[in-house]
Amino acid sequence: MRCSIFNIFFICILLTISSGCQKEKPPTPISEAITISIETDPQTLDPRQARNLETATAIHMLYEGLTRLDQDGNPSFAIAESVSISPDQKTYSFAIRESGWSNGKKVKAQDFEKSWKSVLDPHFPAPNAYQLYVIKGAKAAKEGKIPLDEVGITAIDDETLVVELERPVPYFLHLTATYFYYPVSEEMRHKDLAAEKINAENLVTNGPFKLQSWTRQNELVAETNQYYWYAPGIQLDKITFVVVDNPTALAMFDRQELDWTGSPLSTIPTDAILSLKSQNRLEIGPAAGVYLFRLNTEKAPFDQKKLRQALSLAINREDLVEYVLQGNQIPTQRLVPPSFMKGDAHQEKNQLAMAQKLFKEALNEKEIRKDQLSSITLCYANSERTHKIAQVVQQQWKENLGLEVQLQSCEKKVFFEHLKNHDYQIAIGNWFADFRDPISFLDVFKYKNNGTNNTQWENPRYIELLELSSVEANSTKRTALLKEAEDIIVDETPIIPLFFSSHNYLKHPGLKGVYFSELGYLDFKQAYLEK
Amino acid sequence: MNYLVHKLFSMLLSLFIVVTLTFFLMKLIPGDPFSDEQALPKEVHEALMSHYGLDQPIYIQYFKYLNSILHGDFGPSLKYKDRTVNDIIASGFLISVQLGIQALFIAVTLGTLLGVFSALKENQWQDTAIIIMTTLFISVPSFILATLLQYVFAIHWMLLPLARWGTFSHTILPSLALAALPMAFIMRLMRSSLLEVLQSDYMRTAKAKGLSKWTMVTRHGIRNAFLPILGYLGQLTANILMGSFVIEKIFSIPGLGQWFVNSVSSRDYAVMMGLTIFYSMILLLAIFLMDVLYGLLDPRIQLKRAIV
Repeated sequence: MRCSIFNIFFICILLTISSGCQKEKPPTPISEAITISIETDPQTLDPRQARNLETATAIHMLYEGLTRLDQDGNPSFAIAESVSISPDQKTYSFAIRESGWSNGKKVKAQDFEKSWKSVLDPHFPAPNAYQLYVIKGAKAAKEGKIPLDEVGITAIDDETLVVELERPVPYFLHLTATYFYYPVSEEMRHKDLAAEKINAENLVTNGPFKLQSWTRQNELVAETNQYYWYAPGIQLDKITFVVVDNPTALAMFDRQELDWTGSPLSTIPTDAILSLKSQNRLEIGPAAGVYLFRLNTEKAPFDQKKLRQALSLAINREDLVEYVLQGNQIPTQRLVPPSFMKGDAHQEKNQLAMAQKLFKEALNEKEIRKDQLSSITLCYANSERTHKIAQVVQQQWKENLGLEVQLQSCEKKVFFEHLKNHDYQIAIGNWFADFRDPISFLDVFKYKNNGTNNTQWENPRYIELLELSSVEANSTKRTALLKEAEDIIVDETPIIPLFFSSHNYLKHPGLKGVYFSELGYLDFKQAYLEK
Repeated sequence: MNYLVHKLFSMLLSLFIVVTLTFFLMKLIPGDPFSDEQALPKEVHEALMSHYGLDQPIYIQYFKYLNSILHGDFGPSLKYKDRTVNDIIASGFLISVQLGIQALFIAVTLGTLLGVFSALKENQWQDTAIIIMTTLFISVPSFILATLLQYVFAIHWMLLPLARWGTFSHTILPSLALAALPMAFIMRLMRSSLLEVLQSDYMRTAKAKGLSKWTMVTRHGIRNAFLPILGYLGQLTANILMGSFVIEKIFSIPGLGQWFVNSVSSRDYAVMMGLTIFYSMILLLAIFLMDVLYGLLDPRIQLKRAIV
């Protein structure tokens, strides 16, 4: 029986497959280190080129601007020690604090001046340059119309930075806390962008933490920056971001290999949310973002206001949020979240009758039958969430108005192409604020040719109100103006707001003091682990 | 020698066609790398486009691209600001190769052995058991197998790490998940091919010569039965070395596979192009090597081709 050798071999293989290998040693916990899952690698660690939330969180960890948002989301002094504002609110003079870059050099006012001006350089590829346009001459400089020297940013000496604005900007200290306004080191300003990679040896930062190591698509480790002005107060000495897939992250969290998973750096799988919620493990935070439909108001049938309103009123947003999305979103018919501007997000009860009435009127005015509207298409960028929203609303419109709508799901970039060319009828979109001010939402639809508008809607009174608000120094009056503008856009309905977004995440119970900004980034400056 | 030169030349030609086709097809896909919900102001968008040379006429972009790849430079990634495509390939490929070679090793050795064993035990219980197992491996998609492996070995028994990359133990589960399908396939190929060989005249001659079954199978059987597998191996090697999107995603491995899919969805033109060219190179090279190997194992083939 020669073949018995094979028999033995065969059994060996079966045994090897089923027995596995040696038991893995459990990781030894280091109390001041935390590990967080992240869905994709940060795109860059140069704040001037950042563009997504993963990158924003990494940058808030590594850098600091003139101001920083505190636990309540209000700006507090950071690299700036104090500021004096001129009576016309157009000149800000910042006193720079004694603080160091991670290589020991002093952070100077010139660092801010040069960094901001490099963003405004017409040749520099900075996607967020427009966020600096409130500064005098900034837009003209980016367009190449005036030299950079004429932009209103001046470092008088090492400790004083004077910024002149185009107009009073009540939220300017909020802006200086965003990463658009962070300084970058001299080394980074001078390096050739394409030629040199960012790594732990050459990245110089001025924030609470500095880069310890970064293996791409795998792991980013940050440690305390001892030259940072508040360094003694920083309690975490190591923060690790690990790039893992969402379901894997959940399993790793259960194995206590992670201290945080979910928003804003990754997404908890929808299927897991319900059970996590019932186990009371899911943490929920508000997000400064709204999901909405854009309507193409230039083309029939949505050039008609009544039809737009009817469609909006016929949506049952509570059902959508409660039974389908289940992530504690807040149903809304308004554009600006309540934390930005107080408003009644709730929906009146007997809207349905109103919706049907408006729908009928709209059809009569246009002299068309219902079935002539059957070619209306709702288009969206393909994702689990948008697909669910589209299906639910399609069903609701059918039930409530008898209107049949076609669904068209597109690949993300193709969708944006449709949107840009106004080649759509109804499109699912969302908007997340960059800083805490209602204008962050209202500006989106100010002009027809805003790249972000895409509804082809423009309203002279709306524009006027926003213009008035931009020169209004009294904050109560300003809020009233913005409120009126919001009323206009809600009434005109070029957009149909659906719900304000929320952040769902899981967190190690002992991890405290992490500031989760509603703007969608985490700040670990004050974070600590409770023993 | 002529044969090799001819092969090499046709390889380069195919590569050139791949480059040209990919370039123009890629430019035909609607959408641009900098579009998203927060549409950029015109001047900002223009600065970005001109920084990456995307504002130039397409034929100039094409010739510039050809020129840079001739110098071995695939250009910078449009999404990851400080990375070049060369970096991405260098770091990701090493990982994918390590994983790929392990998977390939498992697939080829186990597949061949099981195939031989199965053929020798034709229609006995061992054969049936192996066939059921391989049918399972062929029909269960790798992502399900991967999750199953994760569940059993990492979550339930806590024997191996769940995901990520670093030590050898990290590589075991993904290698197995990656190897399952090709292993089953090779086993099937080997089994049917060996069964056929066993029926052939020269095997009968060998038997008549009085050779033992062992010598017969190892010396004459396997060598001949292995030929059809070689044809499959070229394609397989290239595929498996380039990494697998699904496996890399599930196990969170920073390999090359996921770049393929991600670069298309973010319209990262340079990465898309670079990876396609690189993949074609690996594929053509693997097929070329298999052709050479074929010739070494089976003198009939080289003779026939040399005449043509």
